[in-house]
Amino acid sequence: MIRRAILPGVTALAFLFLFAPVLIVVLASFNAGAALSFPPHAFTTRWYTMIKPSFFDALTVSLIVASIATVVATLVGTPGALALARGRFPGREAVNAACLSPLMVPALVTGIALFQFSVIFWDISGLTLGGTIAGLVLGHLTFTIPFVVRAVLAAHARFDAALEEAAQNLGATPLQTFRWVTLPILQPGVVSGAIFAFVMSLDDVPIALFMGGGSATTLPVKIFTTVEFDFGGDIMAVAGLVVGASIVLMLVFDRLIGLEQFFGARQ
Amino acid sequence: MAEVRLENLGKTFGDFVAVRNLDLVLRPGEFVTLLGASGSGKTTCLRMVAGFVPPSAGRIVIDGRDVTALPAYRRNTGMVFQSYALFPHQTVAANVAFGLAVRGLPRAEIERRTNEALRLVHLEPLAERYPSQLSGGQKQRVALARAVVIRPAVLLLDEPLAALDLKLREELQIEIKRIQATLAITTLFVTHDQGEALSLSDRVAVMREGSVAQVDTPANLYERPNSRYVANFVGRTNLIAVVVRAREGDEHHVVEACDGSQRRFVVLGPQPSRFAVGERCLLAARPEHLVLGDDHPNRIAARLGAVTYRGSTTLVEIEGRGGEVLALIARSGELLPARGAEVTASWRPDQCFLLKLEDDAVA
Repeated sequence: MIRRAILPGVTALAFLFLFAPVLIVVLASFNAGAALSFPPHAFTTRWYTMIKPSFFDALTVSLIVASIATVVATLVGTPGALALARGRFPGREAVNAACLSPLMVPALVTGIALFQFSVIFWDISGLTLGGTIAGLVLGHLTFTIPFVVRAVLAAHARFDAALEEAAQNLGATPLQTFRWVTLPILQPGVVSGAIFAFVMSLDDVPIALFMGGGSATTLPVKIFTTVEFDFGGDIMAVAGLVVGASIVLMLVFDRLIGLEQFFGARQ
Repeated sequence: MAEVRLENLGKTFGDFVAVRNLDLVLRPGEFVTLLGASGSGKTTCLRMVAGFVPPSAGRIVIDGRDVTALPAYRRNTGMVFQSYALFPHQTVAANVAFGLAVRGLPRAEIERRTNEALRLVHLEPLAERYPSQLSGGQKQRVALARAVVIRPAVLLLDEPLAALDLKLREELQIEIKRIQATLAITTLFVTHDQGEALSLSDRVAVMREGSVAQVDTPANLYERPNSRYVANFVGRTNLIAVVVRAREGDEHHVVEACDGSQRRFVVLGPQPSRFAVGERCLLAARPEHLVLGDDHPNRIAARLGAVTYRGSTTLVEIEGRGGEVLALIARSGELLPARGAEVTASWRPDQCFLLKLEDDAVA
């Protein structure tokens, strides 16, 4: 009797442990008393009305940066992955390693390096990268491209080369083969890489911390700095909104497309 | 219906010569099989015709057109792969229609011809299924339909039945032969299974180390192999070391066994090569042409060896004086002497032939 309750019990505890911080934050956002007082005193929604507009500006910046970084990463990463998988060109191993390394270097180190690079770049060209959307996108490309490349490579490893031969044998030119056979079959890999890249970009703090600033401040960085200097109930409300939006998006996505289908587990 | 000519075809991968000086002509509508062991170059040859491997030498002419420099997608060949290579993201119907869609044919015609092809392979009810929902045999039939629907000049099959079990293989062999005969498409088939080659083909080209050892009809290949290699590759052959003692023209040879028994045999009929008096060579006879007893003129004394029951027939092995092991087929139920007993085996002079002694190892 007790033995059968162990697995579900441990699972429940694990979930509780994982979601407790989120739950607390959401609860706190409705707390009429001082932020972070637990248990909550009274229920209120006023914090949600007190969210400063600058947060929404930061959200816009985050979305723009994530979108551009993801699109560029997909356009560059997909053919790049194919070149790595099939090509035999000098420096191939170096490019391969370069695609893996950003994921192994701590983001903070990358952020500092990028900052230094932006200073040198300004020295040389007079163009500012720091504190601009372009600079943020550039910084995020250091990890979005590897994510897409690795995801496409993984999908390609399962790809049967005979399929392309069959397509060509039936009269399809290499370009037609790519469009009608290769790409559709690799699509789950491309999509999962792109989604991952998008989420990681939205989530990033270290790189955005160094490359952003002023009007180019992303939402996580804004939250981070506000928590440090200007802590209040409205921050909880922001967090609550982020959690709510994530859940809604997941549900909508699943309903519209089906998460499993989208990530490639057909029928 | 196109003639296919392979002229002096060769392919080298680095140091390895996969195909050398290969000449072969496929007549329009003919079913030709490349039969050989792994590494004999048969698949490389097929892939050169398909356009996936550029030849190192020679040329390929399809229907009078030199296609050697043409990429695969311009050759109008239809290929059936061993792994089926069906597009997993498309339905059966879309797979079959792929070649037609690429050619930009009008929708109505694509539909008509797709249905026709599916009917030909008896797969119409499965048109909307995906490849992952099909069995191996069904997948291969879809692959076949997809290859023939574009009406290719030549149909290429790369060991298409190797991945299937025996029953299914035999079923599909009949299917393939039927479809090929119905559509009269020139066909090049690759296999290592000699039974398959003999039953399906109009002609078989036995390949050895990159070149054709012998190309002939299945019957001629079996009855009149031109070398020890082919004789051993196609069916089982008994070989006895002999030396030519007398000759009358090209179709009458008298040979003497080299085992010291001074036993003489008469060999009648056309021979694959010329044999001079005094030349050492091999006397070859198929197991089914040997009988126990001295009914026939060519006789040999031996001891009875292993007996293997094979259903309707029994394989009997006997050991000759020279140490050679001969096999003969007896009807099951026939009374056989005990193992080790002295027996006589005999055969007709026109049911054996001579082969050159070769230094290389046998197939």
